[in-house]
Amino acid sequence: MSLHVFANFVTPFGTAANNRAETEGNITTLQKLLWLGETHSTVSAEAIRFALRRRLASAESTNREWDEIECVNAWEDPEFKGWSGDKGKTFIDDDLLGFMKADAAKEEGESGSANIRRAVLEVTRAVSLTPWSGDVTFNAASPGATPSAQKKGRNPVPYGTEVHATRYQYGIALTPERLRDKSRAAKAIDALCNLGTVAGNHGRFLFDFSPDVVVLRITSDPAPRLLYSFDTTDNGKTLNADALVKRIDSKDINPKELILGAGDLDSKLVASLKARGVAVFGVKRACEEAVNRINAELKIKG
Amino acid sequence: MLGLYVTVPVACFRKGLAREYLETEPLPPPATCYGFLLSLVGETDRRRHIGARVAPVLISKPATSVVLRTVWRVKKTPLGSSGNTRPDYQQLLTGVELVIWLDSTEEADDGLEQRVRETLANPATISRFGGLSLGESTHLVDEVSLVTSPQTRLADRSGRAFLRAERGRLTLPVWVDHVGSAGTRYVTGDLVETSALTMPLLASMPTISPDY
Repeated sequence: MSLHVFANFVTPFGTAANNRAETEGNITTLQKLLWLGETHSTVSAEAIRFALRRRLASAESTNREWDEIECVNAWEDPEFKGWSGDKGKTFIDDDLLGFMKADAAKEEGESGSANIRRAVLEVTRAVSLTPWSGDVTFNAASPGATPSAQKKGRNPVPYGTEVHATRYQYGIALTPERLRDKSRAAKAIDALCNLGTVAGNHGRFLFDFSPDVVVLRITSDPAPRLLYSFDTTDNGKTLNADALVKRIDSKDINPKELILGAGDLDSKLVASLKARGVAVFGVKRACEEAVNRINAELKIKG
Repeated sequence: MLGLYVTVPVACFRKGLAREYLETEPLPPPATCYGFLLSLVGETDRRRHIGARVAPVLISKPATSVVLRTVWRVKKTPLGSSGNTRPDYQQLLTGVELVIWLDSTEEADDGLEQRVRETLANPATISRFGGLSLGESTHLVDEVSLVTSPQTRLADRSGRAFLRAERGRLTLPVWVDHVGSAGTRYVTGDLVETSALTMPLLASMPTISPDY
């Protein structure tokens, strides 16, 4: 059998801004998409993977490292040579997140070549839990504070920033047996449970992506059945998981496969899942429990 | 023939010839559905089930959004060099619900249809890897279940099926050449209104084949 690890993460409530959409005039915009008929802000899977790679570097050395000064990625092994033999040195980020290096054909009519490793850990796009209501803040950059402010001489430069006070939710899928070093599954779960900053306003801004609530599913079922399963009826103050509860009640999901981690153990969300036999813990403890179950299934000593 | 109910919360079924603006097809082409089915059963030889017939039916009305994303193009080494990434717009569909019809009567023994049936009945017996996705790997599939008739939740649903038509208005791939595009093969068809639980006629279902 193949072991599948799925999870759906929900961030705490916070103010998100400047999520890498294109600036329109003096407005820094949010990325948005239509979700259940309304406009929601969104954060790309790539932004989450970027933050995850940085977090993984505290567990093991990574192949790709972001150079803050030059603003480029530096590679330890850009040819991914460590993967050519069974005993080569491999990096945790390549093992979990995959890579691809394609070379064009040298001669007309010949085929090119590609060195590819498919990601073992897949991450979905994060979508805001509440619709975006159109909030924009008005700001002024101090004289000389930015390259465009410098052009304005001694005058401050006004600009607007679209912001969204909300929570985000996103999912993952992981098949740990596919890893070169299977102990890295635990490191991935740990990093996701302690993620920190994702995208946002560079040095000026923090939106915490470490989960406020997480539901993990360890199963042989290839379909997650829990992606984007959280919802809110009070603008993000509290959460419900009605979609997940229905899946449990209809026997699509065995509650024994689920682990819930929640910041507020007195919430209705916790009570509704606990009553159905789901193991409930605080967030960090839930991640530890998931790691223990994965390591036990894979017969890895933690 | 079997039908699968499949949901994909966020998806882009990228048009093969789309470059700067990454447009999406309205529903996953037969070749994309075939790749998803191979992944579901853990098959890594893409030629293993040539001859299977696959017809996707879109039973929801997904909203189309446009996002700006980073696209990689390796123009110079090392890989981290500036200029290897650039922002491009991409269309995204949200709330995709599909029925995918699959038939293996024209395949050799142990066809894909039977393997999918076994996978869904006994997932613990299957060895497979990677997130289950339709289109890009981050566009994870959420639910896969067998369409059994009568299935109450789909009984009142209708949708648009991609079915073969000699002078149809939509051309979608049934085989994709990932190195260049010379070997990519297409079929022409139409999107035909149908109920979610109506099996299509065998002759109207696109056949997975590199030899058109």
